[in-house]
Amino acid sequence: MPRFFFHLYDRSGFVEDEEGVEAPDLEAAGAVALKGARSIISHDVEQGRLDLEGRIEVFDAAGVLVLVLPFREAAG
Amino acid sequence: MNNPLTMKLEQFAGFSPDERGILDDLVSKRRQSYAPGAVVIPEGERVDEIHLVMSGLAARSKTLPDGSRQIMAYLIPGDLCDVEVFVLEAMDHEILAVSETVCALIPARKMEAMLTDFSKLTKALWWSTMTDSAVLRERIIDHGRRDARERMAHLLYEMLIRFRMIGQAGDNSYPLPVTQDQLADATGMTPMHVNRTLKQLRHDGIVEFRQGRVTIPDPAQLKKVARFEADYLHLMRTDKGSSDVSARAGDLV
Repeated sequence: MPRFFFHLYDRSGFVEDEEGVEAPDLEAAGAVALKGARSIISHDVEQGRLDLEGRIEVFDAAGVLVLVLPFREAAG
Repeated sequence: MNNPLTMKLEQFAGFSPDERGILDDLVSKRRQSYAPGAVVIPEGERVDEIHLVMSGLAARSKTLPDGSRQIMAYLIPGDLCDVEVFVLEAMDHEILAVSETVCALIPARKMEAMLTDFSKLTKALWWSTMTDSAVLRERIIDHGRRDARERMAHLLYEMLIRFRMIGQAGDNSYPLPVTQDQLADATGMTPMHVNRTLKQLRHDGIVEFRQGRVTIPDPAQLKKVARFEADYLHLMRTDKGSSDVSARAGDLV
């Protein structure tokens, strides 16, 4: 199964995904990113902080940027 | 090699040489190795041998119809995977090998004979089963009342104590060769959230991850972040302050 890397940019700075997560295809990787973004946004809201400026950048195993998911799109 | 089952059970009671012999005999029969990711016991399986983790790391897990998964517990050496199948007909969840794992297979009739003949061992096993349930209860508390950072810290601190109990992690370092995906399954978080949480814990100097091992430079700090109270582990002999057994985790509780 292909491996995708989900780098996170948010109020905490840059969180590099060194390990990656396996997903069948780009669409499935998009779903992983969406779920991840929403989980982080909702956790921060519970802590009393709303950060919609963050984003997740998804890279494939070859290091090519295949998707950018702005938080604003994930929770808009 | 020390018998990890004895190391675990002697938290509850001191054993005579005879009783130690019985426990050594239990684990001396068949051994089976499992590769990382292999299913040790599938859900629905009827088991007539009890699986005891001797080395490596396994997980108690449940897979939902949509393929998502929850890991309910990590099983370390000395943990019994399926002792409940004595009473229950079949496994209602599965056991997975996380890393290369070796299990001792204990014939059910042998275990039953021990339970009939040795009341102290029976009580110790009962204690161990109840402690396992208490560990599971903590996962419920995780989901209800602990935020991401506390949840992760609690799991890592609890694992440290459990490894200490079986005579490992004396240097506050233990094997946790899990993927971020598996850690997400164990904490009910997403891999990205796990990654961010671990980065913050690393940044604060509370934990280090290197080549499948966790090192905890300052356990007191991790304990504080986790708001950890060790009562639920029921470390009887640690409480009593007796014997070398209590010294294994005495500084952590």
